[in-house]
Amino acid sequence: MANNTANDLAQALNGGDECPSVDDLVMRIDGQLGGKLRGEAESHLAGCAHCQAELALFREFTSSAARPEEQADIDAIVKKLRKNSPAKRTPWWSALFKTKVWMPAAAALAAAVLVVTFVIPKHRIAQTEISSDMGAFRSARVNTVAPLGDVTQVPAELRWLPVPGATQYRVAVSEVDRTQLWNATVDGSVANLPVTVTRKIVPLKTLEWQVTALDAKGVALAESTGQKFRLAPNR
Amino acid sequence: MQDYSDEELLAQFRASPDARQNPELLDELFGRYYSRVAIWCYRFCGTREAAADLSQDVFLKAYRNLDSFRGAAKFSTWLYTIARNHCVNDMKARATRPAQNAETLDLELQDGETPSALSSMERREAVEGMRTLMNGTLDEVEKKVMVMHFAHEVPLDGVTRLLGLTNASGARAYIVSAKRKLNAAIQRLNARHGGSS
Repeated sequence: MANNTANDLAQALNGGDECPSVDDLVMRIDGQLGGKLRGEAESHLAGCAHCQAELALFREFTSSAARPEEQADIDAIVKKLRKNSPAKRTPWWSALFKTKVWMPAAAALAAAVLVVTFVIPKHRIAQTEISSDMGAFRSARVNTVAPLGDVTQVPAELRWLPVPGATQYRVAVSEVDRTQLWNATVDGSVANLPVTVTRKIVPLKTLEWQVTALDAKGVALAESTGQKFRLAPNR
Repeated sequence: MQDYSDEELLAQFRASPDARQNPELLDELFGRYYSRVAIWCYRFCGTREAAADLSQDVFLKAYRNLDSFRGAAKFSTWLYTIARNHCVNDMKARATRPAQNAETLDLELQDGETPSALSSMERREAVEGMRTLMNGTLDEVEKKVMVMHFAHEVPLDGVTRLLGLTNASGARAYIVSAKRKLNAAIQRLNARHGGSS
């Protein structure tokens, strides 16, 4: 019976079917969806600890300022983010090519890069290429493409970005408790999901997948983090 | 550009045929959230290095998934959801032991009276009853701590930092207090139920 109570408490803490997503909740409470929905949301909020906490956490995210003891670390992180913004996909040296007077220097630089490239050991080349693809992001990561988060259809395949130097990829799909459902080794950056897995992709059931890039000797070059996805409920 | 809302910036970015070659719009949009995401990740994990990695991952994920962003949604809630989920998933991936949420709840509640009144209800009603009980019994901070730790799986020290709790044992003290209150409330409920039957 105590187990039942613990389960009830866990479910109560997790919120129920009637709890809106944080996005819906914020828009309703802020009145962006009209007075009627705002009233309903306020009424729900008054009796739902889950949504109260959800809203408070979001407010914390949007309005929080660094505390004095955090300021130096936060400043350093923000500086790094500005430097490595994923929006800045254009290589930094491309700006040089926009000005003709820099052309000779840019050409010389390109030549120097070529020379340096030839003397870099092979394993370093693989790492450099991964780094240049993703700016200064982690170099030993496989960057996943899909499925991620809530999906509207049962995915037929797993997709990720190719890793330079990788000849094969090992993929695995697991339940959230780490029970493995399926694994395979494929040549390209796509793995088709077998029916045994797609059959288990049902609304609100979270699954996790991970991919490891392997070189010709089967040595791991890079690995993704565990990527969770689930089939969104029908609305 | 600073006068545009987040959603207007994103709409302009999407409308631009060579958007990925003109990062200014996205730089402005992401730049508005660098500090907030950095603070969130820092408080979640507690170290500069890990928070820098987490923050970069969050913006990389946002960048890669811009096409899936629903126009009707708020960019801030969308990014917040990515940040929160990424921090939790990253922590789980690095954990050497699985989270012990249900077990922890279970162990503590076994110390209390058998909750016959709640257990005899239908499952859905029992959950609803627990929700009402929790809402009427716990204070605001206790509710936040319980939901963050047990529902969102934020580690206790992360909860302490995110909520800025300054007491000696941080979030743990609020969980102990919340469980004590819930146990007492269940006992009172059972006593009333037993007395009325």
